[in-house]
Amino acid sequence: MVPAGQYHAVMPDQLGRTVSIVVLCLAAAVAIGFVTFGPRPGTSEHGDRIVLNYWEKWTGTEAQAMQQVVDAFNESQDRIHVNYLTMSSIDEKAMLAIAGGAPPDVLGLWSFNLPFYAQAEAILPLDLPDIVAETYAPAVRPLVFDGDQQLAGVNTCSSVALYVNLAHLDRAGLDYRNGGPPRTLEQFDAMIPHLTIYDEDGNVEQAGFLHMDPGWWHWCWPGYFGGQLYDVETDVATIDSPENIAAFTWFQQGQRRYGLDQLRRFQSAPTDNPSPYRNFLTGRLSMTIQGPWLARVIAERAPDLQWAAWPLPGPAGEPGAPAGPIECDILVVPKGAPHPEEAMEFIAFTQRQDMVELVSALHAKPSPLMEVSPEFYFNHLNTSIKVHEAILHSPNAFGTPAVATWPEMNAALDAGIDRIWNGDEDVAAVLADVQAEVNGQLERARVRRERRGQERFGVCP
Amino acid sequence: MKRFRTLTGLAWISPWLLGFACFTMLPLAMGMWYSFTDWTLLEPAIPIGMDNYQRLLGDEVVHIATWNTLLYLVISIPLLTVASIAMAVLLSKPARFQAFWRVAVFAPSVLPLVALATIFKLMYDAELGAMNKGLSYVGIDGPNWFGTEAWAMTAIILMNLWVVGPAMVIYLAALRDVPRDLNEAASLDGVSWWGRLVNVTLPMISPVILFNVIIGFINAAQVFVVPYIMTGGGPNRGTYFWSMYVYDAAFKYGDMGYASTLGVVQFAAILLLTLGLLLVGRRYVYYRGGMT
Amino acid sequence: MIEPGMKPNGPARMVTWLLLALCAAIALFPVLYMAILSMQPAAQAMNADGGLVPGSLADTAANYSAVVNDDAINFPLYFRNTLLIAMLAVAGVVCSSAIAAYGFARVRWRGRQPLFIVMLATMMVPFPVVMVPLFVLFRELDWIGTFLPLWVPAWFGSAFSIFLLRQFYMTIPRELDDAARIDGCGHVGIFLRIILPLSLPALLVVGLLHFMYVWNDFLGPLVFLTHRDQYTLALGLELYMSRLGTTPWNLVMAASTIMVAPVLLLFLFAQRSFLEGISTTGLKG
Repeated sequence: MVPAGQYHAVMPDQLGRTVSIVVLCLAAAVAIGFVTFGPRPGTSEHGDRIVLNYWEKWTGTEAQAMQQVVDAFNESQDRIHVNYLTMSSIDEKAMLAIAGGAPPDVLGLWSFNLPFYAQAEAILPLDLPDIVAETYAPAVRPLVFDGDQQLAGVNTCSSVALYVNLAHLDRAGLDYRNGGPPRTLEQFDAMIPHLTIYDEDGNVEQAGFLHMDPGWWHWCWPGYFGGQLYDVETDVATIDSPENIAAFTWFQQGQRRYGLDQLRRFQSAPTDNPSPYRNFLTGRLSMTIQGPWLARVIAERAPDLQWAAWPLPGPAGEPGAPAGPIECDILVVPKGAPHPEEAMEFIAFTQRQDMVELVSALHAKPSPLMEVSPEFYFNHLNTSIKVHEAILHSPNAFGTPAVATWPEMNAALDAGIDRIWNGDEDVAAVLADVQAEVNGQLERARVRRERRGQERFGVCP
Repeated sequence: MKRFRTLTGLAWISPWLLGFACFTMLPLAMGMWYSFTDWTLLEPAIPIGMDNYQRLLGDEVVHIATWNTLLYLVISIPLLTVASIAMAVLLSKPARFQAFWRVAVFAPSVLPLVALATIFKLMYDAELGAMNKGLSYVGIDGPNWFGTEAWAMTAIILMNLWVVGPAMVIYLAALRDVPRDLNEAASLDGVSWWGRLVNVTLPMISPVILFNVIIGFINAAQVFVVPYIMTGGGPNRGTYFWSMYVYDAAFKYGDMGYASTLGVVQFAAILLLTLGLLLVGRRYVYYRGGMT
Repeated sequence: MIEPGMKPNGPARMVTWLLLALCAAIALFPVLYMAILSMQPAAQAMNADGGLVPGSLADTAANYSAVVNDDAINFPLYFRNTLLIAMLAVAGVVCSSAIAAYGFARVRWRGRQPLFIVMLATMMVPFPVVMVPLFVLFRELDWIGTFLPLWVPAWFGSAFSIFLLRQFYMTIPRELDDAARIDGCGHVGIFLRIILPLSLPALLVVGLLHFMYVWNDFLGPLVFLTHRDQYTLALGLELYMSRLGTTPWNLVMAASTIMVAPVLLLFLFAQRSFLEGISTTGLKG
């Protein structure tokens, strides 16, 4: 029993009590007023147009670019109005929404999400008039088509190239004007010590190249060496193949070149330009792999930087057919979308050549279509756009493994990468572990498919 | 008469009883059912017997999540207990502005964990953060808090020290109830301040310690928001806790059956460990008026 | 509690005072850090050597108006949503818990004790365990993507609130009940005339604590809300922080302050009730 003393202690004195009650009532009244008359969820001022919800991952300038397409669509007809909504963690939230039965009409995902959503039958096949597989660049086709069935529209696409700070190269006396960009990986590796500058304390002031900066494409290193993480034909992980071991050994060399202590100090040095691109933008990093949007970022934040983009000369590349990773931003119609036909109409609109080029140009990316108008290159934000395009159209270009368990596989890969880079462990051993884990995931996925009598995504009939 | 009273009693607690049935018992039962199925939420669930449980036993990620959660429990609960008792002892001494100190120490517990985690994410930032700046003033080279598993886990455990508020307040009330004559007698016998604390005060409040440890344990076993916001489970799954795996399995990997299995095991573990704590309590806790 | 043998003045007092000040400073530091950073211009906030001096009034106004007027993330709307859900939930919890607690405290019936223990045990059920089945349950009801899952369960009482109120009811002398019964009141009469008026402070505590709980809730809205228009402040803050590219910490801290301010103010205003309420739950009933 709570002693009587406690009971009295909970009762404030009379005046204090009156004041408290008055204030609380006032607060409650204000709250109720705010709730009733304050901001409301967007009501439709769009008359009797059908309103589509379009979730997309972009913010800032990239969002504005897409908004132009949305506005163009809204103005081109008067039956449909598209609402552009920015979302964070969009792949997680999307799955929740679809599973919960309240998805948007149009969903912007990444190409590496597609197999998962397709296998789970969480998206509707697209029926877009006048669009066939050949409309898109060869590397893009398998990313949005499952056989003959188109599953997604392509918003923008990008390839990853090596961005170099030309001033640094000049200062180091590296002759790229006559010799051209490095053609082999050995030549590339040889450049790095020349580009590394230490300060008087022995800390790295300028680094040549860091594999973990920005560290967004951990899955890409095997492709440069001609290896793959997963074999689509046999549905088996090939993570510890010789090419992959070579790739990740080279990756680990990048860490050992400087050592973990140096790297940590390098990354924790203060800066007043915090962003994932900061090291390159502030001249602390001479070379980095990045997507074509870096050109736009440089123009906005470090316009004096002299730069160029080259293909990273992986062993799998050939002259004129460089190797490089490809990614797309895709548009899908989720299962359970309130207005699927209208959604597909919108997606078809976005796939028009002029619309695709509009967004791609503003994002400083190449065009995913086979046909590119010459005007696309005039005043393109990325002066090295042709390099990105060459990678995009190269037969040695590669994407993420077309496997539905990619989220799990990626998680396992990330953990392995951490062990290799931060843990400095033996590459072959780590890859063998990751291989075992991923094969377990694939086996489970196989069993689940059999239970449901489903076909595996990516298997052409 | 008795039966009528039973009906009356049930009638009065019916709001809770209904809610309990719908929002606790039913989901628990459903969770248990789904733990034996293979289910993507977009299609009907397929019963698969013990497969999920077998998978759980061999799942490397489960081992990691269990290890992380246990490590977190074993370190943070004693730490929190010591900290909150110490704070309560400190705040129970008469001092000027006592009310202000209490409010100040309790304030962080009132804040949303989302906001607190956001603030701490900045504070722990290797470049901009106040933590490393503060350490640098004392001449220590602050670590990259989110760069290694050990430091990330430390960061999360340390952050807990800011939310000792509720536990501390309960201890304050308990300390108030410790009979003064016991302490007086002890000091007359020449027992030091520390001796009095350990031999008189602590045993007197041991039921409350048990209560707080159990509540703390239940909360810590479900930790989700802070690592979700601050570290995302990394680096290298170093701060990947059990609840995060439940969430990922359900909503990232679309494996609802397995997520249910994880949930059921989590519940069972909490239940068993709580019972264990209560049993340990029987031995070590001193109930003043005899066992309640 | 005055420790016998402790001198009222002197070094012990000083040490205590210093320790208290230190602990308070450490405890309050995150809150102050957040507030100060929200008042700095971007250049200063993002600079490691920016220091802890707030910027000018204009900077502060600029930050907060940037947050409130953000076209992608509608904080005023999220504020309204959170407020709405919180008020509905608090109303529900107070009503239902008061009623249920009466059944546990005042009506002598068989099964009272075991069911009470069961109720306490439900506090042990972790949310992740019931998260998925609840998600499914609400999906069947078509409640996903609405506010309903976040406040309707509150109308069925919360174990913590019922516990708190039961403890409190048990301190009200039974003689008052008997007096009312002599006047011809049944249970309902006793509840409305005696228990309810006397337990207003405890009801206030229950309301405040639950308001705080709902206001701060993150996992619930994360799982049950889908449409961005319905987001609560917790989700809005997370959304704001995880934008691609730079994180403008001064703006994020301003958004944090907006979320934290109401609950902090409420706490400061009713802190004695908060503290007393929490402490009553810790003592064996």
